[in-house]
Amino acid sequence: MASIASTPAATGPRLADSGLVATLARPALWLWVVVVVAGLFVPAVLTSSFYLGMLINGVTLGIAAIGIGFLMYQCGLVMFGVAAFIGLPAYLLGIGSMHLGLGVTVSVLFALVGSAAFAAVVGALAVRARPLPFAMLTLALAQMLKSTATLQGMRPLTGGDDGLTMTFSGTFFGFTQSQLANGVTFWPLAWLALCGVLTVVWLAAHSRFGRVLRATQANEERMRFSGFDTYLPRLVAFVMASFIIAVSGVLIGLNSAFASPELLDFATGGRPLVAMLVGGASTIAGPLLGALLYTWGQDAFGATGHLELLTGIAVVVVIAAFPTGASGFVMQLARRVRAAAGRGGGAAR
Amino acid sequence: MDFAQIFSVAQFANALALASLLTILASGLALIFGLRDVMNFGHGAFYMLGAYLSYSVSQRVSFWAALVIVPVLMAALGALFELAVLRPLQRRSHMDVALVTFGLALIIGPVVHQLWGTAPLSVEPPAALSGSVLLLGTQYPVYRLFLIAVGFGTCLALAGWLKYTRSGMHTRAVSQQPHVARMMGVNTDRLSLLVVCLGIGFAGLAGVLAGPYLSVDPGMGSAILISCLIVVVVGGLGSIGGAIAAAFVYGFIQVIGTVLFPSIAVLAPYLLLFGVLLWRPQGFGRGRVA
Amino acid sequence: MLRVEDLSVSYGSVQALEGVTFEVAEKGRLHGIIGPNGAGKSTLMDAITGRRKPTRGRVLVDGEDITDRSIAWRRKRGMSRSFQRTSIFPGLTVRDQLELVASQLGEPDLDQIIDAFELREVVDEIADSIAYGDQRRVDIALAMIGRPQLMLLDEPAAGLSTTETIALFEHLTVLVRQRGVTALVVEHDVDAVFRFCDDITALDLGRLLVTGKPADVRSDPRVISAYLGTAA
Repeated sequence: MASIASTPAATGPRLADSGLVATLARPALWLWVVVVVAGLFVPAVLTSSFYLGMLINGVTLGIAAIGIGFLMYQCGLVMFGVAAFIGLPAYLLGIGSMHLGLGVTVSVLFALVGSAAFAAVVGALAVRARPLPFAMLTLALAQMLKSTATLQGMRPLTGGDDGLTMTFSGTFFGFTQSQLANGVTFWPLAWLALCGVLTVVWLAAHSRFGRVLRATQANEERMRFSGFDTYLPRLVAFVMASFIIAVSGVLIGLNSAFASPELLDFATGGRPLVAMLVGGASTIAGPLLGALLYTWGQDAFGATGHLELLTGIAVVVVIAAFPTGASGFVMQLARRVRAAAGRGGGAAR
Repeated sequence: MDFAQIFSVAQFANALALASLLTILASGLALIFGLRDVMNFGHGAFYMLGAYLSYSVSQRVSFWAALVIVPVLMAALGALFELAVLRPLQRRSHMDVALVTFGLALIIGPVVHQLWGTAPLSVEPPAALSGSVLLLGTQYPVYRLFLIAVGFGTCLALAGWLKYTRSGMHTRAVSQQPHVARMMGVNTDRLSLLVVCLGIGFAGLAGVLAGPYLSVDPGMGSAILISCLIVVVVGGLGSIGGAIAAAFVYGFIQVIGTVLFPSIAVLAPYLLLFGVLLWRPQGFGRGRVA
Repeated sequence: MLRVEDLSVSYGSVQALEGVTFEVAEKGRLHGIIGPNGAGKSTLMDAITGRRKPTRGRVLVDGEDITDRSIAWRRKRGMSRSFQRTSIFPGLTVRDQLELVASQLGEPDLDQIIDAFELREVVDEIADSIAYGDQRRVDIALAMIGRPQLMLLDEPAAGLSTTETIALFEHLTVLVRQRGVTALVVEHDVDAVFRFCDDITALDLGRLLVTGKPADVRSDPRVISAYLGTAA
């Protein structure tokens, strides 16, 4: 049965093409390097701090969306409770800085490693479940973290309902707290994180690991009958996706120097999910497109107060009519154009 | 620690009251899942809508009117839900439908905000149900007793419907063996409509009842959704009897636990959920509506 | 080589297999498993390959008790299986799925398998777009990868015409003789089984009727009476 969460009939590149030398020789790699370097200079072009801030929001949202998109495309698992891995690292960052006396760089490490470890523990159970129970579990997880963070007893640690304001000691790779809060100086960090995430996801998707995940999604039993462990790869994918989402949470924490229970609320924390669906998970950058669209929409429609309503409608419409999202729609269009131009169809990924 | 206070009749009744509310809500969710094979992530939102509607109706007419009108209104909305959303998406995977219901929750929330604002509202219980009564030595709110009574009554009515009526029997049959039931001539389309209306109507009823008991605020949908999901999962998906039993367990854990170990009480339902899924990690096949 | 002892499997109150014991002593044999519907043939396959846990009994390969081993472990140790209902990877090309499994189990000569199963023409097609017969052969080819010593084929000729069935069994015979593979074949086409198999085990209602050479099994009165009324 076709589903938004199941992988379409795309095959990765052939095993023979994956060698390192072959990769280095590819022009696409050099193009990517150029894009990454060029992107660092966006603030020079985009001088409005308002739009830069909006772009940064889009990028951090995009990173989280890419993470859940990766998990959904490769494993067919939809992380409804994505808020859990946005809020947790943000809080860990705050706890590390404020209560454990860690410098900001170590706090970031603490937040990322802590979130990954938590993901490993939760994932060990969660990835055993079928997609729907998995979604429910992650939702419950987010809510559980939120309830824990707002407990009276946790107030000293997490600031309870008021959230946790952070003061960073030291610099993060040379960035001071005020530089982190400023869009112009924060941008390189966000941009490089985005590029790093895109690279990692691309590599994973095109590796044997990605192939194993997709094949397991297609026919898990046959994989076992072909000698594959079908549990461990899924767990690794879950931890990887959670780590990527945690990067987004850390960025939010660094930029705003604040961790609030709202981050853990699955409704507001569900924005990456919406972004992913709207953008489409069948391409790696699709969720990023969705995140940028969402952030733009937030600005365009936020004033009217109808943003959430439109978001909900967008979700329903996308699932009903455009399961592959905006990026899938664009890809289909591109394929038709190419077919019409006589060069045949291209692979989706 | 005052044990008398913990294990008092009042606390016991509190647990029952919470459980009653959850029972009504979870039964609706279990029905829809058991028969339609749809996990309705918008159930909390429907509940919230019911609560807000009851606020307005109570203001203009009376609480009693709300008690009758709102569930009927919500049942009508349920019909719309079934015909406009669930039926067209019948062939899609569970995940897709679940995502759509999630999207519905995202729609209903803002609609409520627009129409009623974001400040919490309070709904007063009607005169006949306000105040307290002497219950085995302590003063206990009448309204909560009413809540327990309604919850109990709903369980009975539901059990009776499932066991003794044609449609109830068909519902049980279809939830176990949809194809066989259809071949036997059960009109699954009409049954689906009935069950979804019933399920959403229950959500509305729970919303009405919740008004005077909890506060009516924009976050109530999300908060109760998780509790509801946990209750339905722990009770065995689709099993109404199970959901009811689980609701009681949940109610007790929450109430007694909050007094004894506040921190643990918060986590307990989730641990319960994880535990159940650990024991049956393959996830759940369709439960029997029983 | 393969020994099944007192194997019993029950689903709730249904006893699908009851005390089945037989042995395939030599390698490089084609061993048929026949029986009317509901005889428990697929359940036997499931129990031997690890898909179902037996309620009683043991499965031994080369003297080693493997009853509690996982499916993946068995495959890596050389026990493979094909499926009655074609179980392949619909979204991958034929080549990609064969190569994927080959990357896990190691296969020195994938091209030989592709040619042996006549998949050369469709090797770069997406699996769910090729003909049913081709898909069946992909199913079996997947089980052939990695030089398994013991192959269990569950109705490999399901849905194939008589000509195709004969061709398939001829292929199997060649592979069995050439590679020294032991193959257990569950098959409804009794004629093909009697014609090509070295030994046959007959089941009925979850119990073993007889194990022996085709001629003996064919004339065994229990087998004849089990098939009375069934189109053989």
